[in-house]
Amino acid sequence: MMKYLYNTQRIWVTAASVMAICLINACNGSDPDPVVPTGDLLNIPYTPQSYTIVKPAHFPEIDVPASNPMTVEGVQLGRRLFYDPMLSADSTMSCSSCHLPAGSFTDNKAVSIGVDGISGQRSSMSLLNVAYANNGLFWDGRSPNLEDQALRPVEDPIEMHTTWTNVVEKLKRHKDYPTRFRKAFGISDRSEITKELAAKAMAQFERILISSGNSKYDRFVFKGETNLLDDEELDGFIMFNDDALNQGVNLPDAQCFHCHGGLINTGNKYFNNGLDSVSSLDDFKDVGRFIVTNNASDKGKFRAPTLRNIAMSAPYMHDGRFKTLKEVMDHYSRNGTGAANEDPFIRQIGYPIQGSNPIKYTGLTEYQKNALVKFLETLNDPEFVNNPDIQNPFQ
Amino acid sequence: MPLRILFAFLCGIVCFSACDDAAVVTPVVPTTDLKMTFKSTYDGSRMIKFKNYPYGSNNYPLQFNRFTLFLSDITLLKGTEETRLTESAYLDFTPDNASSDTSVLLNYTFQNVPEGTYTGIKMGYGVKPSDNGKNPADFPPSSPLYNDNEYWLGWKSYIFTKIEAQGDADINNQFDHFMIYHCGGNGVYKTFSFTQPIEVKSSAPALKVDFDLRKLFIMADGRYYNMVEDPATSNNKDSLRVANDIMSKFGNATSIAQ
Ligand code: HEC
Ligand code: HEC
Repeated sequence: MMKYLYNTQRIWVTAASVMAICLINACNGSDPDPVVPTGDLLNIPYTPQSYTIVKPAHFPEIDVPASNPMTVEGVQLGRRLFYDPMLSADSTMSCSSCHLPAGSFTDNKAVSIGVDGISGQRSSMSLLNVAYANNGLFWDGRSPNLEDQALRPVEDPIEMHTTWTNVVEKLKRHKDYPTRFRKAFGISDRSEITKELAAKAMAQFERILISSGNSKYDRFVFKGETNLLDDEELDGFIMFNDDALNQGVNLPDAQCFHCHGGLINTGNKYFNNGLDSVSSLDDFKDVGRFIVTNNASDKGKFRAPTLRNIAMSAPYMHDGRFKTLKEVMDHYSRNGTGAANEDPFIRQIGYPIQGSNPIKYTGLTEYQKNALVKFLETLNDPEFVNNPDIQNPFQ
Repeated sequence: MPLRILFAFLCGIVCFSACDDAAVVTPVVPTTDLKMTFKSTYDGSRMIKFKNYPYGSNNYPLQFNRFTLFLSDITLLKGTEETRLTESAYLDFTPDNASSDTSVLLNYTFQNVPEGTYTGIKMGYGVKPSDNGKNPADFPPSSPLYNDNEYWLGWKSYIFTKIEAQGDADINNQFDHFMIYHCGGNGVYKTFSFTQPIEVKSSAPALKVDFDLRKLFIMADGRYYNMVEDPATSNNKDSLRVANDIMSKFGNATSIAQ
């Protein structure tokens, strides 16, 4: 019965893509482009090779939408577009201006600064393992998938601040891109280049931004190298996972895994993790998730991001308010501010204080905070940031 | 969602025609869709997040903010005969995309269920041990068990249920008593059967399954579970006992109707 359900799902996806194709055809039929298509790309072979995403064996399968299958040519095109400043108003800014490999695909700024020098309100997000972000993209989850997300920065006034019409014109007239679009998507004429195809290619590239699986953490947890962590890192690991009782050691619970857990430390769910002290839910400077759900109890909630490579992506939080991981630990050690929708785990970090009613928690000692930071550093994955397949192809 | 259901329905039609062709050789029992609706309630009415519910002997206010549950092997019974509807389901009554605090109704359509009158239904509460020995990397994205958010690496277990609430146990307008019951581990997996005539035919109404959170916290002697003494399952050395208590009561807390 279950197998049957899976099949149905696949049929659904296939049918959706068939419908999508029909729609694309329909659009082409009424394309107002004055340039008469001449089939100028038809002599270039269209033989896309399917691309197998390299992922660690202990990572879950990646959910690639049937409407955008991975191909070698698509990934190559996407990589170029991602690094190409041609996508911005004055050709000075590319996606990679705010998502650099060295910062685990962030810009290491508190808030990102757009092409016009205007600061945004939010901190750039790491794109490591973004293929697994299946619960909405951005800090508030307002974009449903990578294909949709990639359309947004180009026209965003505090990011690349141009129009897709301009960018698509530049792509059509380019000496190299039309061939690449042909090879990736089988278009027969440069007039068929669209922003949607550009976004699909960038999404394909982003789906290969996957951990190497060789961080100290991965080797310790998944590859049987059980002596790899030193005492401090191990203490941090135990506190992160609330595992002291199990291990028979005397350490408090830091509650982290409840929100940053799973196999890949990407929570993807939305919480108020106690950053702001507000007297009412209406007082959050940035309402976060509320933008999407319009539900008052979601005000001030943000998506729990991946903690992989977190030591490389300072500063921290949606507004970059904390410069170091130590500051982040000082924050969690305060046990929140008591806002009505604050997640209960935030108030339970440390040891329960005997006799307190309601139960209060001690927070963390300096040693414990440092041990947590040391543990977070075991999530560092230099092999990922140095992976030659994801670097700037123009350098 | 409705579009998807419509589509599932269309697929059903396609499959039926396919089955008709194949049916030349062996006569087949006619099959149809069975719809099931899962609901989360408190004392009979739909649970609403952050709403005050009376709790304990002195009726102090309690507010829920999360309720999720895995079910395994949802199976229709006809005497000793069993018809499995699905191996696993993940019920998130308080999903991130809800536009209000009202817990959501979760509708399922099981296709190709042999028509007839069944005598009851059996469900596993949690993730059955054979699946719980695996983890999200062992399941395809379409499976409920692909959900990495609900996997606890430390326990090597899915989190069978998450129930989170805050109470004002000393009635001073401060909701500072927390109930965080996250239960998991093969030891607390439970199976319950319910006797209830269930019609599977095309005109039959949906099968309704309600989980009454209040009944989850009423102990054998009629008193409420003491959430002040046992506020959590994770940082308490009795955590297994608490998790077991909660999981054991799901049978009582479940009601089935059609
Ligand atoms: C000016 C800096 C800037 C530029 C240029 C930029 N981004 Fe971003 N990016 C951000 C910021 C800031 C966020 C978080 C925004 C928010 O939550 O509102 C973000 C978020 C994202 C996310 C969401 C990640 C997640 O886990 O949810 C993706 C994907 C992304 N950017 C891809 C791109 C792509 C593709 C481009 C180029 C087309 C691009 N970005 C250009 C700053 C930038
Ligand atoms: C209740 C859920 C929850 C718990 C518990 C929790 N976090 Fe977070 N964490 C979040 C959310 C949500 C964010 C993003 C908040 C924002 O930016 O507004 C976040 C952000 C972070 C960041 C910054 C990420 C970035 O890219 O800027 C770090 C580092 C972090 N948490 C580490 C931890 C550690 C270590 C613990 C345990 C001591 C922990 N968290 C406990 C939910 C949680």
